[in-house]
Amino acid sequence: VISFVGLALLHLAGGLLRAAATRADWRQTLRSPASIWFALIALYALSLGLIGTVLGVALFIGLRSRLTVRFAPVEVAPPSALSPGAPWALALAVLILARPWVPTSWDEFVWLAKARLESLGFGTGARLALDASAHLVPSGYPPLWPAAVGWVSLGVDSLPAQVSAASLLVLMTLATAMEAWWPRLRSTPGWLVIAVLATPLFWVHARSTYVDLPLGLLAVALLGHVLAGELAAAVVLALVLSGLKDEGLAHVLATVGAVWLVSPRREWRQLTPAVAAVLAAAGWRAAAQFGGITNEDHTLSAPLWRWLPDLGRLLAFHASDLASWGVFWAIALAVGLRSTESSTRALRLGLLLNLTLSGAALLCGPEQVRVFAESGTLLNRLLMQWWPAAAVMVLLEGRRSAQAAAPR
Amino acid sequence: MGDEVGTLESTESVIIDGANGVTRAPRQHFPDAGWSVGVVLVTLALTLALKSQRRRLVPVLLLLSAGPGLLQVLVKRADAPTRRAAMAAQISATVSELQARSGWPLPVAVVRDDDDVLYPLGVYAMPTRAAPDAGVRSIELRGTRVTVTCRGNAPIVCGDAP
Repeated sequence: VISFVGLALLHLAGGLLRAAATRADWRQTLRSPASIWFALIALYALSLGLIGTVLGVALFIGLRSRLTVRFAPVEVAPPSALSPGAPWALALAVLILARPWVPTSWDEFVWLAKARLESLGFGTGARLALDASAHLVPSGYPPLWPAAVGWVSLGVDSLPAQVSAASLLVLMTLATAMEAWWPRLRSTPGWLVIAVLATPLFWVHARSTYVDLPLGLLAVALLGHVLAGELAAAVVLALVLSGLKDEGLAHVLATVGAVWLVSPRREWRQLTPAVAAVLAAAGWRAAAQFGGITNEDHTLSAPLWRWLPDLGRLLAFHASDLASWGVFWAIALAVGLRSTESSTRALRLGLLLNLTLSGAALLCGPEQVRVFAESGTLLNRLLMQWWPAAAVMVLLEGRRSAQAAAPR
Repeated sequence: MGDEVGTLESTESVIIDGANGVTRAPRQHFPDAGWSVGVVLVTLALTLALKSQRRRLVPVLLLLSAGPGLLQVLVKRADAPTRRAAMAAQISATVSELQARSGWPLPVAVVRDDDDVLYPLGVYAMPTRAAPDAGVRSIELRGTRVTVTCRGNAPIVCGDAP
């Protein structure tokens, strides 16, 4: 109950903050799932102390004065349009939330451990993440996800409250992605949606508190908002992505770069989310280095080119892991190769850029990340991060095929 | 850990590999890689060859191929819906034991950690660690089983006996 209350309060605050910052109708922003990320990014800025607060205020002023971003009005599906899908969305939400409120896999414990820090006081997670004497595991990671879990659970130090808060956040990332793509996917056949959602590893991650699926869902939401010209939400989502995990920056760069490259009229303003994410990630890295903290998993050096064939082999084996993915990646690849529709081209290019950036990070990263990849603890999770974009690509193509096959 | 080949049947195996794949195939270096890559290549060729009107076959392929994995997720794994409550009870008991004995947020030093299944539970119970020092409570996390009790005081030993 605590987490539901926390989520409602944060969503209310986010909706009002978004309305104030973007001059949008507050009734619309309160109905938009993406609004909660405005509240979370504001809290994140406050938790980073004076510098974060100053940057947060600058972001608010920048959005309100429209100095750097131009944005389309918030487009929220009317209740009449949502009603046919509402029972299915509710069923999906119940399936995701109906889990024992106990972590069951490795990283769940690690993420929720950092969420416990918020029970010691607001902003403790960020403060201790920059304090080498706290010996946080893993060190140097941006602290937004666990801090957000702590805020949604209202700082209560209880395992059920933290797991339910994290699960609600996972659900909000799904809702944010669905909202961003609703205008393009609303006439997608239901049986195709069910078939895509049947991907087995999706259910493992949707019913966990891992951050890989949320990262992918927010990245695909970012792409939807950039394509729609709703750059205020895009900037906020880009900042959230850079605060969740280091891979978040790769997602932002790949997504924004892809839209910019396929766009018939390239505008520098479209790059604003990427600039914001780079500044945020660089700021976090600088603060961590200043505090003597290094993220040992993500330090870079000269590329180990001779490992490239191994990476290709491992990626092929993971994408062919039938128990985890079925034939999803084969179909996504076929769709990517065939489709010429503009949204699909952006998704395809985004996936390709993301693959390139992640491949470069693995080649240039420390030996331990290649050991993780070899021992099977890394690549399926990267694929989980890319799954939402690939899933939207398959859904878009399926919708187009269904429309083409329909009797006129 | 007593698992049948491939299946994440025990609580310990789910804690370690539960999110890395639906089965232990990634950890076991994909023993059936030849077969799976073959299936994927055939599907790729078939999907590329399908005419627009026949693409309604795509969801059928997706659903059929998801079947074995969903069977693992829904029935066989230790975190399957029918078995998850038992797993949760097991984990809750150990986490409570570690939390009670470690006394966090009071300073606590982990002086030994076998880097196995107790490691993440220990991280949850003790998110911050102190340097081993006189007057600081110290704790050892030993072994490869999730169900443990703790004993002793200096250090507190949780898991297998030294």
